Amino acid sequence: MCNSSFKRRLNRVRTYFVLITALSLLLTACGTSESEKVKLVSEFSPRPGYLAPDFELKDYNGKSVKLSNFKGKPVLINFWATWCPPCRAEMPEIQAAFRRYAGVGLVVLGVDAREDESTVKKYVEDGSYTWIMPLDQRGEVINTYRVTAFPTSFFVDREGFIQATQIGGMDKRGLEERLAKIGLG
Amino acid sequence: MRVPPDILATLIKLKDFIVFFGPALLAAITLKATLLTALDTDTNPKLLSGSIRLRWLWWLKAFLEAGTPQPLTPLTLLRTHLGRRSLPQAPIQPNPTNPGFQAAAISTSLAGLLTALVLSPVVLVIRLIAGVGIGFLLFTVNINPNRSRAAVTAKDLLKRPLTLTSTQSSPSETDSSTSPGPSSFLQRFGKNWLAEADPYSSAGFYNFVLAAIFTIFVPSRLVENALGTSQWSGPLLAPLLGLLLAPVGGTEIAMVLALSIKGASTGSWVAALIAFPLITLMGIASKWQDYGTQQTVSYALVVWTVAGSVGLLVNLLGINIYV
Repeated sequence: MCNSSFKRRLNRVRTYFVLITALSLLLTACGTSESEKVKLVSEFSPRPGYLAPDFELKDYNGKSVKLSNFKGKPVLINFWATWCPPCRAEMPEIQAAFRRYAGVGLVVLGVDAREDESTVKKYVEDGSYTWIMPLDQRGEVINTYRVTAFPTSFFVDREGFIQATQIGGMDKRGLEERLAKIGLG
Repeated sequence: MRVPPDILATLIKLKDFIVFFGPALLAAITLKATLLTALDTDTNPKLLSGSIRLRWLWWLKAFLEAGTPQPLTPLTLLRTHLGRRSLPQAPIQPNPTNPGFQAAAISTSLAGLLTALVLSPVVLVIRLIAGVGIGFLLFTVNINPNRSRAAVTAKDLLKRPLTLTSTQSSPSETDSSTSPGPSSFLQRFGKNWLAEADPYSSAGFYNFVLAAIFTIFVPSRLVENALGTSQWSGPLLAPLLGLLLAPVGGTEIAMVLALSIKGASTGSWVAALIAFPLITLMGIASKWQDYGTQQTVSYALVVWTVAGSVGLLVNLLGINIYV
């Protein structure tokens, strides 16, 4: 009786651990952390240490959004799409960080990839996300920033240099680590 | 077949929570299993001798065991309830199941403290103080153990001979205590580790899934409007959000973090942190079975009042704990 209960328990625990491990391995597509300090180069290129290429897009309300207008403020450029699960998973964390650092000037530009205004507007309003959402309907900025996967994030400091990048979703810790590189936290 | 993006997003969030809090929970389970193995009375008969000097070790073991109640499901509750009506009452076990003792043990369980430490050391201190405070208050207001069906007062405990039976053991496990069990330290450790990991793997998984669903599907504005910084009543409402959680201390932390992410004020999520492991539907139902309606209501009111008051105080003082 004791043995069967012990075995049942062992099996149950084993099943959960196998499930959790498999899930973690499957979903750990979050890129690698960057700990080294980047060398700064005064050229425009979508790489850490370089100046973030400028762009101008319109948000879903038709309002113009230009990156260079935010010089002097730390900027998080997040390329995303409504169909992308990791983008959806990291948005609550971005909202929490935006709420926390908005007072010290953090600007978040959520560049949506090739979707129409109504789709983006509905998703953003349903989720109560409050940062700026420019739409890259022709994919020009996506090409400029050589974005190959969603979400991809660029962390731009107050001088306009890219201090960190992230291909794939970020959890709380990953986001905080990168925000620290642009002088937040 | 295309999986809806929100389902995958929920799984990703679940993974995030597991990666974030999993190591702390594993450390707590391992530490607790080690302590319980070291304090095992079968192999450490000195503990049974009743020596005053060793009595604190007995209390430590009882405290550790009371910190992880066996998770309940509606089915097991119904079965137990029906069983109580038709079968003779089991004799009162000499376990410190006094609600004050148990509430303090759950609030300040190793898992609860270590997962709180993952958020911030300040959160750990708040949890510790509030847990001890709730335990003390429940003793003081006397959730009338004399009238309860199973509870034993601290006074009763001191009068009884020091024999230990696990508070969380099922009948089959109780049988096993009389049969020859595993003898080596490692074997006993393995058995204790599995007994600890069992509730955490099932109830923890369930709580983390609820937290992931909450993070992905609940819009921030709802949380901000009800529990945000502009709502003074947030700390009083927040404890109620944990009703659906499983009552295994430490695993509620994911829901607390989810509340914080979605815009709850510091006071609101601190109140939730204190109340979640103690006020859940399953936990309340279990208390109701053991202590009856009146005392269960008193128990819930004490926990809710302490949690709400601490939360209100945190908001009032403008304490902004970094999470």
